[in-house]
Amino acid sequence: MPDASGEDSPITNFLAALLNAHATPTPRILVVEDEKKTRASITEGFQLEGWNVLGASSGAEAVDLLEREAFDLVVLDWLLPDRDGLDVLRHFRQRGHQTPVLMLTARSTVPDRVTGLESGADDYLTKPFAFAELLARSRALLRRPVMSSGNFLRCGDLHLDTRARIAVRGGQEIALTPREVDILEYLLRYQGQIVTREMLERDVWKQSHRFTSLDNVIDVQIMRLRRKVDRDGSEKLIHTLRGVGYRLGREAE
Amino acid sequence: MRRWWQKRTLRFQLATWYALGGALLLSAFSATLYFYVAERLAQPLDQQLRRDLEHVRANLSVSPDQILLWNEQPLDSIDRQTSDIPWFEVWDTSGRLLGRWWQLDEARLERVPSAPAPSRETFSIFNVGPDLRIRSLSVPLPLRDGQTGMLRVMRNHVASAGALQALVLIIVIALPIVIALLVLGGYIMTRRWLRPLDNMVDEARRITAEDLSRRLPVANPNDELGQLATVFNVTLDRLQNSFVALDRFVADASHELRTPLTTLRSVGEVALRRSRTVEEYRDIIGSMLEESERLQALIDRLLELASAGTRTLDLQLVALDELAAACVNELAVLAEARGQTLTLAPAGCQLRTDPILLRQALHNLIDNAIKYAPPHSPIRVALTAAPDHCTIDVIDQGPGIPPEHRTRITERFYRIDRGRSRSEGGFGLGLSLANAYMRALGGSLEWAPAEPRGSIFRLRLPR
Repeated sequence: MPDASGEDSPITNFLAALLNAHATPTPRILVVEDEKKTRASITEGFQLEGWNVLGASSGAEAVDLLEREAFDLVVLDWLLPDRDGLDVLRHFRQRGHQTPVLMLTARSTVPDRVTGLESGADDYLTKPFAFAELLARSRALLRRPVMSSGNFLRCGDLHLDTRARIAVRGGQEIALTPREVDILEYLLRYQGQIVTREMLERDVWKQSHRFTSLDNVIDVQIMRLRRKVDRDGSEKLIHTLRGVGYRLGREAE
Repeated sequence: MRRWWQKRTLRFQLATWYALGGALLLSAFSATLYFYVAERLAQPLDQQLRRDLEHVRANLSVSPDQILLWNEQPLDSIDRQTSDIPWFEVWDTSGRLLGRWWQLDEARLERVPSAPAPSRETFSIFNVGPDLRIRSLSVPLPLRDGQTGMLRVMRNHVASAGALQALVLIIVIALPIVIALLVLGGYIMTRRWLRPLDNMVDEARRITAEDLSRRLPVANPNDELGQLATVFNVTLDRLQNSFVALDRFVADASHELRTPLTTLRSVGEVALRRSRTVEEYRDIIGSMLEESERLQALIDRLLELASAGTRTLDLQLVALDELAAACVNELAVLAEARGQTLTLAPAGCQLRTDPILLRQALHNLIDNAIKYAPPHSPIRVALTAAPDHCTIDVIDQGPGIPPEHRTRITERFYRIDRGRSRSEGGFGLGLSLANAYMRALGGSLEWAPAEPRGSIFRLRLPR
């Protein structure tokens, strides 16, 4: 979400208010995951976003909760001790429920992916995953503004015209390579949020498979981009979160 | 029966087939021999009978009142004991005996020959008494008034009959003995020939997954059993190699997996020993996350390597220049960061292959070159197109590969300098992945020394 700092223009504030009014005030989320620690951390992570989270540790419990209560999003583990997550999903969809479902699984082959999506899942995440990515996808499924849209992106005194592909910081144009423009646009659209290397690899480098890691390529590219964007004396905008990813934003959290 | 037969050893089955085949062949041979010998023994007698017939025809005549005349002289007037007239009979048309000439005493005979059937020329044998056999030749004989009687000349058959009986006796007694010897000999020979097989069976029983160093004995490398043993030993070589590689892989993998795990634990444990500032905690958690990322990357590579051979290929017509250019552009930033120049020499080669796998293979090679070549050195990616294949060379001016390491560079986790490459973030899996991909694509990964120093890693793809 765009940060609500004092520098935002009235128009941005109005748009944000409009979006917030349109969305459910606090989304209700059901997390079905038998591994206690994983469930606890996902729950806590979502609560930090201000969301209302309920946990279920078994398929039976999940089916019971889904019968009685309404949710805005279900995060469903594929492998549950009593009942297949896929089975829970089919049962849920057969009863006509449209609530978005995000499947979690340790299986990563293409046929598994297809099975998952065909049974009515709306998205699919392979374990182990970065929480930042789960958050990004959950936001997308909740139809909350995941990223800024439009052709003119801005963060502080950094501006990017995505059509003309021109970046300006403090009134001075920054010379960027096409790849650097792509990365900067992605970071700006997700500004304030954590972007993992996997997300960059998939969305900027367009590589869906994880055969050969591009991690070091991405690190070097970000380093070069940072050198151009965060010049000496200017405010640091591109932050590295060790072991997690990158975040473009105004203050280091 | 069938089940019983299948339970028998090969030796028993072969010996039985020998016996059956031998008995059949020998019986056929004996029967042929008997009839042939009988025929040959009869031949001299038959020729004598023909001469007798000429002799009789020349001298015999029949008077109008059906009296037999020998040289115009009544037959009855000739002395039977002293004359040299051959034995003969004359029968008239109605099968009545006109006269018989022989030296036998008819009172002592059990029976006398009956009238021959009217026909052209017939040899026949009949017993006239105990131990007395007659061989005869009957021919038509013109009589007066245009009638035709029969003339039969005869001789004693005794001598040849004895020889034939002896032959039958020999066959009856010798045949079973010969067949018995054949079975025995067959059994012994089979046993002898199959002994190497027994040895192989014994030796093969001792070969297990734990002790793969044993090999089958090769008695004679040129015969079938020797060839079998040789082929089997080659298979065992391969099996042993893969077991050794697997053992090493398990040992290496557990070591590689333990390293980040150990860091993870110790960083966490030490962090909890005293209270720290928020910044310190952030740093510690970040460091632990880095290790877990490393662990995940390693597991991803291992799974990739394990499944590289079984992946279904997505074959497309690929322009190698474009593919190599994409790879080079992607990795150019890494080379640039080390001050290296990464250049591409295209060759205009197109072929059907799986672009993703090929790109991964090339990516690994270039990544490797950037990692190991010295800073500020050039790295060249050169393509060549031949009629039957295309190659992509990655040429660096790195340290090269010492001869003792050359055969092992594609092994998993193999690193020439273990400490150094780990500090640079490598797992030692790049070349084995590239090799696995190339094999999946039907190509190969080769290495050659570059002049004056460095390495050429060559991806070769069939067209």
